[in-house]
Amino acid sequence: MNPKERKFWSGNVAVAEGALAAGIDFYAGYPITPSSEIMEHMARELPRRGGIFLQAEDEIAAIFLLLGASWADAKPITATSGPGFSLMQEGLGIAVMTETPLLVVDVMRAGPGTGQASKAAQGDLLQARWGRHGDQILPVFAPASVQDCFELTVFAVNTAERLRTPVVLLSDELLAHTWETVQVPTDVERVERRRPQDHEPAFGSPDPKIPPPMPRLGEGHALLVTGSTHDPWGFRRTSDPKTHRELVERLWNKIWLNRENLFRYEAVDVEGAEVGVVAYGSVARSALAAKKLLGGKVQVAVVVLKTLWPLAEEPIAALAERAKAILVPELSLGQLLWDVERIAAGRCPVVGFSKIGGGLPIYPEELAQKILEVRG
Amino acid sequence: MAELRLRLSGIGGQGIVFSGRLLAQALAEEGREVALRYAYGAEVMGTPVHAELAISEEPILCPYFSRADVAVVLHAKALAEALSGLSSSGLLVLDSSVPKPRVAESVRVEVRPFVARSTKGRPGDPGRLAPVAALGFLAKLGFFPFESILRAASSGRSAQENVEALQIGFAF
Repeated sequence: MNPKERKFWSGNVAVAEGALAAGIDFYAGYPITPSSEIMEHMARELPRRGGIFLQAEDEIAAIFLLLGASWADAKPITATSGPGFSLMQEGLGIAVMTETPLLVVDVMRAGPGTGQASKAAQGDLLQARWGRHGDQILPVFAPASVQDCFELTVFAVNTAERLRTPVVLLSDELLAHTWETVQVPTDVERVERRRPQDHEPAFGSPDPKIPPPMPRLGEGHALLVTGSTHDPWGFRRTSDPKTHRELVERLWNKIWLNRENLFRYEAVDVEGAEVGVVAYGSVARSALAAKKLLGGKVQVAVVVLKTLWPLAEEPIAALAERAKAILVPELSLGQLLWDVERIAAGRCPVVGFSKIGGGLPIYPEELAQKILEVRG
Repeated sequence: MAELRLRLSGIGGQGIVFSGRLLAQALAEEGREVALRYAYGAEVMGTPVHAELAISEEPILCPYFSRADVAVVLHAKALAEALSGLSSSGLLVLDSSVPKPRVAESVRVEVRPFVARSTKGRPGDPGRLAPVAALGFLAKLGFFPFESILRAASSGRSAQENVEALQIGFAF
């Protein structure tokens, strides 16, 4: 068994430590509440551990520094929040198209605009999925505890390397500024990106589930890296319909066909459920506590989603088959709700429960009350 | 022991977050189950700040609670928010600079001069050692061992003044 060390960390510190454990060796970013402690931790720790830390002039520069660093063989990460995440979308789109491994951590706060900078929200889910233009997909993960902040960051970094893709980790202010005990394994898996063998193309793969290898700059590869449509060898093909279709479908399938491997969740007491609760992030903790508060009064099932994109539908579909109703609590006006409604497909009523503003958590007591109302 | 829910409230600049971390870290290092969450305004300085701790012998399912068992209020600006989240049978610990509110008879109220006694007349100090003094007072009331918090306060740049503040609070 892998021995573990007990630490007392905040969500933000656990993300930074998870990244370091997974082998991250480059950070570029611009400080923004409530993500700044990740940057502060990296500024202190990365140089000590042989990595590079850069404060960029803004978030656009930061994301493009990550792109350059990744092609120079670094494992890069940045952390930001809503306004900065919006600015990074252009670079994230280029990273999808150029198949550049990197990790963006978005610690969600109340928006839109500058909103309430230090207050929690979960309003960036759809932006994390769809914030780039064009047909595109990237994995989105969401921790529900400080332990998850460590473990899912490791998984996110390894996923970026394994599938040669940008990845988004969606945290939120509540989790970022919550301190809990973390069991840190002394041995953490590190995935290294695959290198080309025998003239393999850098932008084509015969197996749609396996990404192409990524050359290392400076090792003799004549390489063109472009955000425009390109053939397997990197040459721009900006009018050819077949090349575009093949490339964009391959980029999509590389993630979509691996969705079962990417899907992380916890399902508690789905069998015999009267009311199901589907939640993610800090709200998932309140859902588990609400279930305990209700004791045997109502049979409550809780599904905690830790992968938010792509979704594997089975756990929510199983809940819809069994429960009389599903409740979806969110610190937004209802974004995950759309997924659950779509997957439940009329098998049971799906009810949203929104709370926004002031950074107030959805408290277990109010969620328990809502569960009783939904049960009827 | 059932879960203890403690809320420290004051304004930015008083060290509410620091004190919350000091206590949480001290208890966590002794193997207790602790969750800490803090909340502050975008202004950071001069507006209400809260540090919330859940302390238990069992793993803590949810770090977020609406009702605290103990509320410590060290500045009048934070009083309303702190009061709205206090259990009807809770303990309210007030700094003597905070106007005493009307509360239910079931709420126990203790008033002590944490700010006045710990600032020592330093100009411009909003009472940055007052939360540490309040921790000393809570230890005296038996919520956690004084030795635990003393050990945690005894290291770091400001160890001497933190230990002094703890002792001031413990002596109340």
